[in-house]
Parts: sequence; structure tokens; C-alpha cells
Amino acid sequence: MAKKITGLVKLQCNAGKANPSPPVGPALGQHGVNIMQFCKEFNARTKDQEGLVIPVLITVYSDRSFTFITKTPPASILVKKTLKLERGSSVPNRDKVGKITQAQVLEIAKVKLPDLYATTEAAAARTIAGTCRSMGVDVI
Amino acid sequence: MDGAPVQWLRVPVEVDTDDEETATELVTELVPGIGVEILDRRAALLVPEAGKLRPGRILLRFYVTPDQIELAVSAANQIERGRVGAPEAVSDEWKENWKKFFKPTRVSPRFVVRPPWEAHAEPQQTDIEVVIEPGMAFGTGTHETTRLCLRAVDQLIKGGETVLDVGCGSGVLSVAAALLGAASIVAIDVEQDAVNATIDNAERNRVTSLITPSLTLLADVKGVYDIVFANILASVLIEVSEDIIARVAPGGHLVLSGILDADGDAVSDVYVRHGFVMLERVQDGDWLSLHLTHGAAA
Repeated sequence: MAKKITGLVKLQCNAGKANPSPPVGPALGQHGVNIMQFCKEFNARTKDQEGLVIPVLITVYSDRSFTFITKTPPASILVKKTLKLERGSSVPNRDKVGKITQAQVLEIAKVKLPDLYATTEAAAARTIAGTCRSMGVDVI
Repeated sequence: MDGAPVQWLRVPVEVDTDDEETATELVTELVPGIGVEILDRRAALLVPEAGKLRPGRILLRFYVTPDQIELAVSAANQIERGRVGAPEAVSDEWKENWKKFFKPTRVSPRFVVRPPWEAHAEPQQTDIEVVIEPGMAFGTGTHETTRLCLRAVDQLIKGGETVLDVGCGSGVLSVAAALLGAASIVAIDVEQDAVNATIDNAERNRVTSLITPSLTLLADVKGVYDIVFANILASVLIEVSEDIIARVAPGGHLVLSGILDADGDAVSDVYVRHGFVMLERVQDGDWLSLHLTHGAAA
């Protein structure tokens, strides 16, 4: 029997490390979702991506059961992870914080492809290159 | 989650849908550890404010502690095309609200798990009620992994066994084992909330004298046990496999759970390599429990 969907909530959680602290607790608990059950499910399914912040889209049903899908981490986080950067540049045109190769951009593009409007890896790579530039990272 | 309760605050910011990533990234970079909830009109039934959003706009709600509020508001004000609302205090209702949907559940032929505030509507003479108030600990009996373990408790405990419950959560497995006549149960968890919940639930079910809950690390647990339960996660079961193995008596039983179907082989390989024999691999939804015995079956 199809269950009635009550709403969709999106959160950003640390892969493999969700716990009842906000945003998870308030965002889910106030709507009747079993908080610890979500944490167990999310942590089991994201343990391979520890160290990354992952957006997760949670569907809440009328009986307060839930399902969720995880999205790819934000492109800027993947860029920072690849280059081991602490943060992007606040003045990207002037202050450069690093350099990234085309091959590295393509690797990130492959990861992000499912969540981008782009339909080819080359198009996705152009989007990622744009993110790099906006962070003060030169594509070489 | 320990110490004095924290009064959380929430900063609502309305932004363009296309700016979601850049906006959340900007704030999370400036305010380390900040949590964010992202809502669009599809959340309208849950969050009324989301229903007022214009098409193409979404609502970001950043959760912060009072000491971070100024920083968070100033970060939020830097979001392009963002409209920052007044910070709101987050009521503690969320800690209780989800419990309204925790109903008595039959989990095995004999066990029915129910919260203390609900009556069991159709009790049968052979039913054994496990009364659980989970607090902020895992284990209401409604998750597949808990159900799988409770079925194993129902099958394995005949009376007089010594039991180790690794990652006891709400204490639901320990209490169930005690109710079936286990001689003694050592229940450990790394979370204080879980240990507290186990103490409370043991009392609630009048089995306090049989259960010893503590924050003791698995590596520091001594002795061997007739039955060891570990409902954690596949990655942890692999990581601490040697410490778990060392606690199972020769001929004793080991029930592992919290394992996604896809991770089942990786977990079972580790234990079988150490001389355990697989007795049963039970699946419920996407989740597995593995029932093994130490060497030859008892």
C-alpha cells in the first residue's frame, strides 16, 4: 500500500556521524520521525564517505516512517578535499588559494554528475571549473 | 548530548533555489559545526513557513548555540539575494514529539515492545511485554535490526545464560533477555544517554538485579559469555571484531546486527576466519543479522 507523503526535509549531515544534535534532532523529531533510527540508517549507508558533509533528502510519511536519499557533497567541499584546502578565497579574482588540474576537475565532475543539470562529464567539468574559479582556485 | 541542556537557536534565511549550495557553504565555512535544514514548499505540511515561499525560493534554517548566534547572523547576511529572519529559540518539543508515533509492536512470537504511556491493545497469554522508554538512545523495537535481535533473544535464551550486550542503546535486548530468564547481563555503550536509558528500562521491567549497564569499553570487558549481542554497524563490527570474539565462550553464540545486506559478506568473512560457524543469516528489509557460534555448536 502506498503511504501518504507528509513532507520532504533536506539536511546536511556528516557522513557516518549523524547524531541527535541539531539539525537532525529538531528537524526530524518535531515532525515525529524516530531520530535515532534515522541516525542508524544514515550512518550505515554513508560510512564509506566519512569526512564529507552530505546533503540528505528525507521523505516523511503520514505514519512518520521515513525514507531518504543522499546527494553528492557540495562541489566546493570536494574541491577543498582534493586540494586539502581549509577554505576558499574571499576575494577569488585577486587572492588565489590553489591550483587544480583538469584531471582533478574531471574526477570531481564524475562524482557530482548525478546531481547536476549537466548530462555529460565534459559539461559537468565546466560547472566544477566555475566553482573552482569562484573559490579562488585556478584550473591549470 | 551530556551536561546541561543547550538552548538552541535557529536563524531562518530565505534564498534563491539555485543559491542553495553556495549559501550553505558560505555559512558553514564561517561558522564551524553549524547545522542546516533546507526546506522548500514540499515541507509545507511540516513547517508552515515553507508553505509561504514563492516559487524559486527556499528556506534555510541554521541551528546554532547562543555563543555562535552573532557570527551566524553576520554570515547569513552575506548570502546574496538572501532574506535573513529574526533568530528563533528552538523549543525542546522535538525530544518528545517523535514518541507520539511509537506504538506497541509485536517483534517476535512472544515479545511485544511498548512505550510506558501506551497500553497493549490485544495481549495474548503467551506475550512477554518489554516496556521501553528510549529517551535519546536507539532501540524501540520498530527498526529491523532491533526486531532481528529480539527474535534471536526469543530463540536463544532458555534460562540461566550469561549475556553481553555490546552497544545496548535503550537496553531493549538486555531487558528482553532478562525477562526470559538469562542469569546475568552485562550491557555496555559508548553513550551516557544509552546507559541511563538501560538503567531506567531495567527498573521499569523489574530486572535491575540482572543487568549491569555501564560505559565500560568493550576492550576492558573481562570474561566470556554464553551469548553476545552486538547490534551496531557493519564497519564497527569489523573494527572491533577481535574484542567481540574474545568475549564469546567456547560453544557460545554470537548475534551480530546493524548490517546492511551489501555489507553482510564482509562482516561474516571476518568472524568465520576466526573459527566461528555461521548458523543463520536472517534478513528483514535491507538489514541482516548474523547468528554464529564459537567453534563447534554447543
